[in-house]
Amino acid sequence: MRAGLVAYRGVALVFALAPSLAAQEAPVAESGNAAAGAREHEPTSSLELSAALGPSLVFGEPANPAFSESVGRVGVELAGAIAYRSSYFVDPRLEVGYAWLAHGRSELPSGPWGDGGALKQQLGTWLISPGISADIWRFRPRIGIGLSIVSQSNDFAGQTHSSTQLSLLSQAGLGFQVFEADSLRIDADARIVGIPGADLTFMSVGIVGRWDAVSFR
Amino acid sequence: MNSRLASLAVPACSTLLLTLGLAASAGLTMQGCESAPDAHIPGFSDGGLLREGRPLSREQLYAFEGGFDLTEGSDLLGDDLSIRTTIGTVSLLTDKEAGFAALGAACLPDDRVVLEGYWQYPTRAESGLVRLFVGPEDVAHQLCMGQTPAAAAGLELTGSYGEDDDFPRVPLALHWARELKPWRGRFFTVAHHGACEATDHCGVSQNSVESIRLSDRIGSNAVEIDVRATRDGIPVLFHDPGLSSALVRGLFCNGKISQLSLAELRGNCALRYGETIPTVAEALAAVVDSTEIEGVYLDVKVPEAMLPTTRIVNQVLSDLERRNSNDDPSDDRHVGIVVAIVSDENLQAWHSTKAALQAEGLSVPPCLVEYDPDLVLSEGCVAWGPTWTGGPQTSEVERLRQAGAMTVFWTINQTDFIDQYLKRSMPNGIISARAALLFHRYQKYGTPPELAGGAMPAVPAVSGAPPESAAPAPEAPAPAVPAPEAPDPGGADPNGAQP
Repeated sequence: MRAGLVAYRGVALVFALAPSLAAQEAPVAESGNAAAGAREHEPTSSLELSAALGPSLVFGEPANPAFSESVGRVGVELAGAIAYRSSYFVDPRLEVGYAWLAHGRSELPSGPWGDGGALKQQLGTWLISPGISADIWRFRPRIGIGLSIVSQSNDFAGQTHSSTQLSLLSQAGLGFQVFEADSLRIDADARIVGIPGADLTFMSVGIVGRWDAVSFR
Repeated sequence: MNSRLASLAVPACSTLLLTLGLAASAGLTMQGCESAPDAHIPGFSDGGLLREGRPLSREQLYAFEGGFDLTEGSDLLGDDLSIRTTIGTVSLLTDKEAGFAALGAACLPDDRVVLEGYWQYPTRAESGLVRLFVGPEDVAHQLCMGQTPAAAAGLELTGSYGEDDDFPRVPLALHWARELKPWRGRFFTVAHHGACEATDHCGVSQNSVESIRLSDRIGSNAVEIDVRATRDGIPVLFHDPGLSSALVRGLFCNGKISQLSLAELRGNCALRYGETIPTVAEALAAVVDSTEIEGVYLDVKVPEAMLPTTRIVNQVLSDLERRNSNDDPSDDRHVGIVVAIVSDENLQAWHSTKAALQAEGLSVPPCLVEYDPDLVLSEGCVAWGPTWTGGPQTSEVERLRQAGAMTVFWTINQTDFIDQYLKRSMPNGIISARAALLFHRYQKYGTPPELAGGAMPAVPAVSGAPPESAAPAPEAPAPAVPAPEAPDPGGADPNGAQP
């Protein structure tokens, strides 16, 4: 959790500084920098759809190490987003995604619940997060806050049950554009998501495909 | 170019501010509920003097009870404090920052008696070590001879305190000044959530067995604990419906209490300081077996927890009754347990619970109503538990007192409010997360409630009462538990075949 927070704060700091870098970028664009000036030749705004896929790594420890036999912290995150690429610096966006975060296995002794046995856990979360992003040269920093629906299933004594928990989330990410053709862009992307109400923090890296579905001139 | 720069500057600046704001708020969101506050319970690096000595007996510890004035160390503990004792602990209780010191006591090989342990301000991350020696010498000698001093008058405690784990060097001295007002079986200093708030620095989680044990050591003689039911119907101690990170930890600890079985809850979750989420049965066993707590206020949060909780209470009270009815008074243990009815929904559950218990041939345990004083009487409950926000409600408290019912206000942590309610309402108890503060203010301004001639069913009997030679002894005996029904003004039979 603490490692996650440190990483998160690092990303947040970079992002917080990004607009000032952008302001410095503007004169360069005017002097003819092709990359920075590329957006001048694009439509002034567009409605952008995007999809992201990549592995995730969740932080945190099981509560009872004495019971825990194995924990898998690497999962997969899949997300889709819609963004309005405005003619201004900041683009509003709405993202919906799901992350398969972790799985584990514990061996419970006999107790007040009855006989012991293997307890298998699966942890995931839905993410619904409005936020903002910006294009700074090829970088695309973003932040968002929103809601998460943390879902967990437990398999014990031959029965599987699920539980859910609604919690606030915040996230920060940074994409780097590696490909561009017409209205299609592909980014390499990394982000960190914090769900403090559920004591969850995870980060993910992945590929993001972005497509201008509608252009406004 | 200048106009172009100007046109860029406005959105850039506004964007910068917006971004900084969002980043800051996002960071705060990440950090807000990150973890329980740090708590440090200091200890002597060499184990202290207690390990070299012979612990004083429970009976000997009673000799330390009383009101004390400080001649040195008032910066830490104020000008005066109260000392009460429990199993293995001498507790210094003050109204300065609700501070307390929990000390062990032992006779050293050189005939000195040492009190040693730690002090703490529960609302602040401040604590330190305390070491006191008992004077005069003849009192220490008596204690080391295994005797109990005839009176606490003249008792002096002299030594020092420190900060954190630093060796105690700041002078601390206090001397006996007055007897304590009667409190055992009379006035309930009820520990909220078992002891401390989630935001306190006590080093234990609320609603844990550890917090119940701590509450006994820091000034409480009753505990209020919250009860919910797991998916498989086992009542456990937990306050919130959901497994909030403010209360629990664990990668796989998510969802609601009602969605998880006890096995899943225990396998996946621990309380903030690592303790197990206890069942009601475990908590009551801890109360009975490892504390001198006299009263338990079960705040049953959900209707589905009512019946299984009352079954457990029934079992505990039956076991106690059996234990107390044998010929050996030395193992007697009296604990009053009340089941709180906190809403109309729970009242319906209470009615069906009573019917179910009666059908099973079981007794109905004493109840408490939190919201409507009239229901206390019509339901045959033993106590009213109003929130402090309704004011002292002096006339209602008096009306219930006349009818033989107790009043226990919840939850008061502020000194001036505690004083006001003690003076105006003279309640039978107050729920507070500041046990030391409440106990000491009761000693200053409280009026020992009168026992209502056997019509006070859930008032626990004197528990672990000091021997006659020690001061102070309770002024009046209390009825045994489970006790007879409260008077029934309506002529109904509210609690059936109770006890």
